[in-house]
Amino acid sequence: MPEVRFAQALQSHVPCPPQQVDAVPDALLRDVLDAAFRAAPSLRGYVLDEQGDLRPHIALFADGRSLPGTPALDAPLPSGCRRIDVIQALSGG
Amino acid sequence: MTPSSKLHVATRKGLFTLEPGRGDAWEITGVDHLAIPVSAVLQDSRDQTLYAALEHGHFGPKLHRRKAGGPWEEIQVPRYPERPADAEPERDIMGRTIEWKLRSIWTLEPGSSDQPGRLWAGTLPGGLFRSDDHGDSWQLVESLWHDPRRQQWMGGGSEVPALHSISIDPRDPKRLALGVSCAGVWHTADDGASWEPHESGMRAAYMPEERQFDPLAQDPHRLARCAAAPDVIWCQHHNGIFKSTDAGRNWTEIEKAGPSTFGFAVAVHPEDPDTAWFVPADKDERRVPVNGSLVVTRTRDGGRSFEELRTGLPQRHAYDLVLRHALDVSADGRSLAFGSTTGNLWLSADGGDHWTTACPNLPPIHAVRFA
Repeated sequence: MPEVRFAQALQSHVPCPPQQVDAVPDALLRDVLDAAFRAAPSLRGYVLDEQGDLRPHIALFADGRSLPGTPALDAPLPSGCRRIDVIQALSGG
Repeated sequence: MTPSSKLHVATRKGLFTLEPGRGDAWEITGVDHLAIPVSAVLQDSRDQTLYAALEHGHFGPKLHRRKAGGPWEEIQVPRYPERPADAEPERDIMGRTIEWKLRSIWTLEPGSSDQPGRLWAGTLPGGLFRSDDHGDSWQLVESLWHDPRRQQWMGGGSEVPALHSISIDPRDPKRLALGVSCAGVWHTADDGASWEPHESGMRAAYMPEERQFDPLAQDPHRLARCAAAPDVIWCQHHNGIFKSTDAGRNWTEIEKAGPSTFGFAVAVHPEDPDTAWFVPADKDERRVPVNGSLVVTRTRDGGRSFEELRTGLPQRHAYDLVLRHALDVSADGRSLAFGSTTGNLWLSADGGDHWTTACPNLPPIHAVRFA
């Protein structure tokens, strides 16, 4: 049951408080995010593009450790993972 | 024709709306989507619904709508279809991968009065989308997207092909002319079921000799069609100024127009096809006004001669560049507005003879549009 948290910058567009997500053993990270998006369906388009890839300036962390972008989506959730953070890169001007 | 009552200004940091104030002055009366890049704006004259295309740097392109008297609401954004799993990566002629992903909505146009709910959206990486329900849903115009000739399109300015102009023939809204950087001008006569590129006349001096007149190698920066004489379309092209008198099939180059023929924006008088305006920059590799002196060029004789309109515009140390959607003329043909990447906005109430600075401190301006 990892907790999924979306950065404040995302929540300024689509509110979605931190939530506990049911995850079956060997669940993919994509499955976990899909479950989280059920609480705020329009958030999906802010995090993923129409092909299901992670947007280039979104970063994922599992218990504080960074994950390698889109490839991480189709990998199993790290064993024992308690928290997923979805944040935006700090770039632009 | 009544004068325009609003001017929408899409900028890198929000959407600004101006309305006439005292005298000739216009005042900002609305600030929306502050701090978010706005790539396109449309106020639909059929129902006064306002559409704003946003470009969140991190979170992708979005589309927002405000019905007359209502609040802003986020609506469906055009989506590219899933590519077949076994398809080879799609590459442009430079060998760069073109992903089927929406990069940006660059232009929005309404259908005709007998097409309620019809909207067109031109996007990067080159797809044309159609909606028949006020933007609640969008369909990719697959006849164009799957045309094998699209493989010859390339980016110009942006890394990917960019569909910036959707010019609808008011006599028959099933006839469209599209301007694409870089793919030339594309035509449909059957509401998008089939497409053909323009035939001849555009020239790209920057291409190898063999391809200088290739219709698919052209980089039209912007198309502007005369509402009262729809066979006349003006084009500010990367290579200069072109004009068509057969609805964009064939083009003639205008080789002399004030200090420079290079630029991005063009506007045509809605009732007089011989009158058109441009805001030139020096040249491709120096995208600033010639000698730091900002000028609007105007022809009133179909391109045989051009006036240089300077009254009220800065004539020393002006480095303003006007992008392709950042010049507009009102429906009565008298009011003009243009905005620059430096964030200056100028207005004229007399066809460009005199200009006033409406706002000197806006964010970089992408588009201006009278409503």
